[in-house]
Amino acid sequence: MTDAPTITAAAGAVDATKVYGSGDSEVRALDGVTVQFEAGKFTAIMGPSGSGKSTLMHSLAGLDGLTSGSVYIGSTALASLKDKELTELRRREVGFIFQAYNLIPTLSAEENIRLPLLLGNSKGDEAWINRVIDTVGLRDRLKHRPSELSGGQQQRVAVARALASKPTIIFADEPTGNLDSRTGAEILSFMRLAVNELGQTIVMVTHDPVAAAYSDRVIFLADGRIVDELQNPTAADVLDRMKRFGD
Amino acid sequence: MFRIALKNVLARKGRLLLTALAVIASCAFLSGVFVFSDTVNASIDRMFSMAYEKTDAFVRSSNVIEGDFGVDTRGRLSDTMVAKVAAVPGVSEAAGDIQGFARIATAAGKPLGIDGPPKYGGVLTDSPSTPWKIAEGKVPQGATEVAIDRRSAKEGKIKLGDSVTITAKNGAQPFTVVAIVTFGSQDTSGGATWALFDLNTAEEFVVGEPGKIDSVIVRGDGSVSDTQLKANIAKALEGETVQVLTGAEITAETQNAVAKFFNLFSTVLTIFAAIALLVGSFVIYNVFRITSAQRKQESALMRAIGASRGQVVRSLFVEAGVVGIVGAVLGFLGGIVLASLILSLLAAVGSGPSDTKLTISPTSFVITFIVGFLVTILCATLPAIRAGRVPPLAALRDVSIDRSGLSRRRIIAGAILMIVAVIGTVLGLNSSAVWLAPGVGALFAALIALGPIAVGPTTRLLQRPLSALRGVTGEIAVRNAARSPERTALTAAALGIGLALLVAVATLGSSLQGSIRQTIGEQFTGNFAISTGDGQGFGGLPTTLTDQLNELPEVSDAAGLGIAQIRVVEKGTPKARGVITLDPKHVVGLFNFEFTQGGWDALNNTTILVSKDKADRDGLTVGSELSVSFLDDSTQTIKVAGIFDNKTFGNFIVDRALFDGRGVSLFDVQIFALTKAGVSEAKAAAAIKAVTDKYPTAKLQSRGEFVQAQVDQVSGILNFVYALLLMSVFIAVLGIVLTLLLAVFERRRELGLMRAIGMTRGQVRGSIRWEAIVTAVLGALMGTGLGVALGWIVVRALKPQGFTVFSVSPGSILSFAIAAVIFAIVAAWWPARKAAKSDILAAISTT
Repeated sequence: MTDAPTITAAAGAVDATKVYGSGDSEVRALDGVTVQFEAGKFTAIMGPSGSGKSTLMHSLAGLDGLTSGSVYIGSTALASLKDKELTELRRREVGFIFQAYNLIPTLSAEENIRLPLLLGNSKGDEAWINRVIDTVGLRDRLKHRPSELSGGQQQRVAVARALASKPTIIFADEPTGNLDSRTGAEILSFMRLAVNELGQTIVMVTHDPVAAAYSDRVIFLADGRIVDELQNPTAADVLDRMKRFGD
Repeated sequence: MFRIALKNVLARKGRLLLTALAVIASCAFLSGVFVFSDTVNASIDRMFSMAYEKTDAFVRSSNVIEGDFGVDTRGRLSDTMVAKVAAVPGVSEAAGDIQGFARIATAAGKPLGIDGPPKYGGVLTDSPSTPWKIAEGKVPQGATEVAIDRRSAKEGKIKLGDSVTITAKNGAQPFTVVAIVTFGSQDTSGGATWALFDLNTAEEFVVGEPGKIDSVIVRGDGSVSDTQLKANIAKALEGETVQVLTGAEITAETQNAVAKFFNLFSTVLTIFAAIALLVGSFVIYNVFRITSAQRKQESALMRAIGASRGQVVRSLFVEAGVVGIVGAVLGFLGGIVLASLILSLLAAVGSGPSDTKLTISPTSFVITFIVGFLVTILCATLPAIRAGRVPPLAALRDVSIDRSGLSRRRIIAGAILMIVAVIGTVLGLNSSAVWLAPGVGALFAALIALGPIAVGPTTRLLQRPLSALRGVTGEIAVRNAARSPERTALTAAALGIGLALLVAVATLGSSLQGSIRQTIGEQFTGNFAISTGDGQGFGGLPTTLTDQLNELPEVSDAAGLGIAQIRVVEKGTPKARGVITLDPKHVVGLFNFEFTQGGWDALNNTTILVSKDKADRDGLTVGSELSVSFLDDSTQTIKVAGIFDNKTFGNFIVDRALFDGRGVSLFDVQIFALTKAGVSEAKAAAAIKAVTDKYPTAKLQSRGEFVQAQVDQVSGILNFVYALLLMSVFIAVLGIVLTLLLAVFERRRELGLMRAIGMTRGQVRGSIRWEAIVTAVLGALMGTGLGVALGWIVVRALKPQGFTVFSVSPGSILSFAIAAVIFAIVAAWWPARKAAKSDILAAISTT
């Protein structure tokens, strides 16, 4: 890890508020969320549909703006950035893993992995990329197009791509939502490995307690607010906490 | 079902308009040409009905020799005819009229008028029947006064009392401007220039033969009908070689003659609009192909919930019908705008009709509408049938890469077409030219069939340099261009056809220029050439100029070449034939001529020289006798004095003395001169210039300049054809815009993803721009190959007509290719902007 010792959070939000619409139809997707994501940790964000978990992630990743409050990645506040600076920051500092449609169909697996680096015209750290490719076990699939890969393989390419630029933080949005449980577990193991062995920071939005159990910390959102959190959770703990949302 | 389909179309107005754009553009050119032609035709009609508005009868010589394009040469009348006509019962007024060549130049020697319209000399009287109105001044009287049209006065900044130099049959002379006239309310008639004199001066100076006039303009006293008046005059002039017409007849005849010439021009315009429509149909077909592929899921869903195959197909036809109707109607309106733009542009540069009231005929609307509608429906047929074949299950699948267009069938079809093209061309060039049509057709079809197969290799070729140049942006652009080969190939082919025609025309032009350079270079051996510089068939240089040049001690010989019409009796019937006139005493050393029999020596006013082609066809040899007749109805038997093997001098050459006293105004179109041995070229040039300076229209050129000027004339025609082909290129470029817009719509998720993981808006725009460039390069490659092949075929086919050189013009080809790339960049602007604005969240959020 290369972070300055004074800053331990890879990303965070202060009093983040996001309002859609106005008047009677006003919806507060985020309602004063303050949260920090510690470097080198795997954090899960959970909550029922409409709780604001996706909005929080999109804001943190610089894909969506806030109505008020602020978000930062590393030591950079995102609000002050222009579109181009924000894009370049995402390219350098942020990795993404989406639920589906993660890859560019015209590019090979390797090109997809290197895409963020290529877009920045940077070579990247060759040794690191090789390590990432070996970690996700894609060495023999590099020349294949996405359409020639299975769903699990495609998602492994997405994980590798997220890791390739050694980002400050990786955001994963339901990364196993489209996979069967065995393949899903495999992807989550890779993510866990990326945190433990490669020292990466991951924030994952999920509604699956089993997936959340792979994390170091779970944050629960409801109605745009943080309502609870768990450290080193088990699937049973998470499920138990989730059931109480119904109360 | 119809209602649902219609609702579906109208709910997506954006897509409807986008699809209709290609139809609109294609129809706009077509209707633009129609409206333009109708407007010019109507303006011609109005102009000539005004010219003879107050004419009740018209008398002219009945001797006429038909020329090309309806331009006849007609004999002249004695001016004593005026008095005879005036005495006829029912005639209130009869006036002699002249319409000959006269070119006005300012005192400083600048000739007035634009290339194209004729330069007339005529008569101005104070008779109420003249179509001319005196804006300023008085009717000219005597040998030094002239009235000129207001357009010329404006161009030359000429005021009353100014001196002008006028060149006509009788040489170049100074005149004083005593009146500035208008044609009705217009500055002049049809862009022509007019110098008007009193009758005697016009006879002497314009006709060159005192006592001769062209026609008698008659006004009735109202006591009899025009038809009766015509009959009265005809009866009174019985036995004379005259023809009498009513005012309405001469009006209609003049209108028809001009309209015939102009219709030729409209036909050329219509052909180019049709080519643009052909290119447009590629674009329309491609747009339907893409949109119906994009709606695959929608069509599958319809099938899944119970729509029959026919219903799906029909719903697409409903959409195509709406697109066709909207496109054709908007296109027609666009054409009106286009036509008025062109007319005002022409008016701004001083040519074109001076009154530009738009004429919009129902026929142009009906034709545009039917053509636009049918082409749209035809283009939608194949995509609609394909959409009907979509299995209901496809609703559940996501198709990201279109692999169409690479089938074995396509390769075989392309290969067969190629073979047909080669066979057709070989047969066409070696036996009958009829075979060229299927040959060239198959060549185009082969290009379209093989296009998608060429996409892969071409893009692979471009991949390396592009990714070196533009990194991953270029790489993505190339991959995107290659991802759907048929689509890219169709877009490129539309551009390719436009470019192929441009390249073919450029090749034809450069071959023609090479041939001219070679032919004239070999055949013209003099040092100087003198021409009028405007290259018009009407009028020219007075023959007195040639005579004066031959008197110069510095000049050994000056040959003035003119063109005249005579009748030659061939196989028992008199045929109108063009002949070259010259003075055989002054041709030595000027032309490098091959004579198979005889030669210059025996050419005099009782003999004729005949080309080898003509002699072979008609079985003529030296000594053969030909019966010829002239405009004054005189006939003469002349002997063939030589047979020449040369294609630039037409079929007949005669001594200009043959026309002496036969009522023909001979002009020299071109004068060639040879320096006397021992005189320096500079000294000779100075001496010649001293003479030509007295003739403002005469332009002195050295041998080199003359050859270059002939070559440059071709460039003028080429530029005109290029301008017409721009219609097709414009539609092809529109095709690039539409294909890219639809691709951006199709790839919105992918674009969103790339934006999310760090592609800047600039990079997104760049990738779309480069995709357009790759398509353009592909089109340019197709166009160049096809164009050079087409050019070669035509040049080879025209070899007997004097195309001795085949020459490709790399400069033109390169500039077309560069222009195509620039157009592509412009075309990419809107799609690139749309792509850069794509919403990241909407693209990546799972639905």
